[in-house]
Amino acid sequence: MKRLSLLAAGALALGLVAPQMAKADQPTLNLFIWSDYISESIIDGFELQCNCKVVETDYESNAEMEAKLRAGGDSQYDVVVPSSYYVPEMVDEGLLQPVDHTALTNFKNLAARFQNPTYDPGDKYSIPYQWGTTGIVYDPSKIKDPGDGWGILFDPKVNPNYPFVIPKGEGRDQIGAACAYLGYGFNCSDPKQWIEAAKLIKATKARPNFAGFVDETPARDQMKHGLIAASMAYNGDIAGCKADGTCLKLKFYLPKQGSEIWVDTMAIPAHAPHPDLANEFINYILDASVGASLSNFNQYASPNAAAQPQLSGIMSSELITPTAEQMKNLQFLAPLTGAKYKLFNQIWTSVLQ
Amino acid sequence: MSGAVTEVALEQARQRRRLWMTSGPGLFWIVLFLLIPSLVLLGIAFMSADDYGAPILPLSLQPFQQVAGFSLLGWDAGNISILLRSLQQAGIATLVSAVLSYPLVFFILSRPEPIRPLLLLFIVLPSWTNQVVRTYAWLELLGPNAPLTWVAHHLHLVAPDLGIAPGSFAVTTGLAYNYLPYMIVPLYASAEKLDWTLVEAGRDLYASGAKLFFHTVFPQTLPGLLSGVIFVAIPAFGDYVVPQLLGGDKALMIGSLIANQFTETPDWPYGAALTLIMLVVTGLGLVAFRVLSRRLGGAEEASI
Repeated sequence: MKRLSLLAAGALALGLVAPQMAKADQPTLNLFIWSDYISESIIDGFELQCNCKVVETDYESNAEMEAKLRAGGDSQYDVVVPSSYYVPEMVDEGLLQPVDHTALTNFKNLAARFQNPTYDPGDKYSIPYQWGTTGIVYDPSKIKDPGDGWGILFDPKVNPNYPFVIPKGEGRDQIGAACAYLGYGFNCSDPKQWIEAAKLIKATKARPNFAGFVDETPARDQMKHGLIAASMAYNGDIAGCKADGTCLKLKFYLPKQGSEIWVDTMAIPAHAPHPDLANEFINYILDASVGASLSNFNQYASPNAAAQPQLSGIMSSELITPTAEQMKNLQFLAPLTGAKYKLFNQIWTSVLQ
Repeated sequence: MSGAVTEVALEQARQRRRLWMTSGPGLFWIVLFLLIPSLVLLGIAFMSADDYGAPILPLSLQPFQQVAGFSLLGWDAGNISILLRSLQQAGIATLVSAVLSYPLVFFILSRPEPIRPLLLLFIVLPSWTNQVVRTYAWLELLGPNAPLTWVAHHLHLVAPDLGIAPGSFAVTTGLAYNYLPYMIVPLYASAEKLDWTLVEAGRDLYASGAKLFFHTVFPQTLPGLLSGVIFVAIPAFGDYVVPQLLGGDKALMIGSLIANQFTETPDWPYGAALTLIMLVVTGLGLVAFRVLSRRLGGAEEASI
């Protein structure tokens, strides 16, 4: 038995990944960001500029990021990248500290329409990073006629056979999509409509070809391998895999019944270990050529007006910059705070279990 | 006389010191990383949740009402079925790994002695790769385009355009695969010491194959089997990587349900209450197991 325990313990220990160690003599910027959202070269550029080390950690959903901050991460990470509608909630919880505008000499590069947003008056806590849309990606070799709405997920007649997924996340996009499908609009806010949408998703969950709750980026990867045929997706994720040629056959569309336009922002956790470095990093991203190389890498649209001339053509594609016609159907998710957040959360809990 | 007494006392003190030195670090570890967190958990389970799911005063029993299935949308049997499903999946995974382990262990024992450790190493080797990576590999192996799925389609076990994964069969497979080494290793340890003369005696008495196994081999390997059951059943019961990837979390197991309460749908007190329930169920399982193993006569070696 003793030998067995040793064997088992040894095997387990080898299975664990050694923790990342940073060099002690350099200050470290701890960046907590969505996966596939920043390039090595941009990080290298900042390390050169600040003579510091950048440690990048990834997440797949706002909920995952917020949960880590709540569990003590607000004193571990220096920069986080929450979506716009998450900012008021995180401020309300005391998870963020104001950014230092005196350090942000490049702030003027931001396009006027991205300055002073309703979700964060005066850009007090957050600075726009990239913006994009959430729509549908599907495999046209399997689903021939997806229609132009959310029926591809919620109507068994549109896709009776092929496996599809719904993101797990915090539920806002999913309930919004179900609301839009039911005709209440993507930004439904009446709890009765939420509950009706929740029931629709529960019914969807019971369909035999529902393949589970999988967040947008991992779902895209599963679809590349032919594991699923339809999912919600971020436009830039699809532009990215089209650019590297790994998903040429997949198609993306914005449902006519309404879908989401969002801004992801850079913010500094309340007890960040290196707030000065964090402000320097935010200012670095706001630089015109860094902003351009960011969009050229992650294929999302840039809120940086000064960066536009340096963008390599991708911005003109409909996938990245929606047409005026499509813009009419796109909405920002309204922030939720306090009791209303709790109510929404309880509804989404009941959907997942 | 008094010299002998002090000698005894000294010896006792020495033994006590040795005991503290050897068991101290382990005890420290258990207190710091098991006992204290469990107490924190216990505290949180009896608190209320604020709007964002963080624990606050006053004390409340609401988390346990949630565990019992009461929510905004009324009472729901969801949590009970989640618990039963977890028990069932863990049970099947344990059974499957036990059934697979016996032939494997005796195959290894039938090889020449020098290569046995190597074969055993091959069993343990996959667990040097991260569990998530291995489970992703299974996702591809059981996906819609995989050969195994093709076979399943032809046997009409799976609808034509779907994969074996995600689904409950895929979850069982993933769990059994993941924890198989933890069954094989203890079973091997006890099978190695098997008294073959008993088997030969049974054969001389013309016992059939099944009879031979259940009367000579099975009782002797029982201690190893029982250890294996513990090593497989407990982690399989609380696993959340496999149900998430191979089950798509559409049929939740208790591990995923708990994980959700600390991530996607934050409600720490509810998550803590669920964890307590899971600990109690595991504890009861261990007690039942001890009673059972004592009755079966394998208690000494199998107890951990």
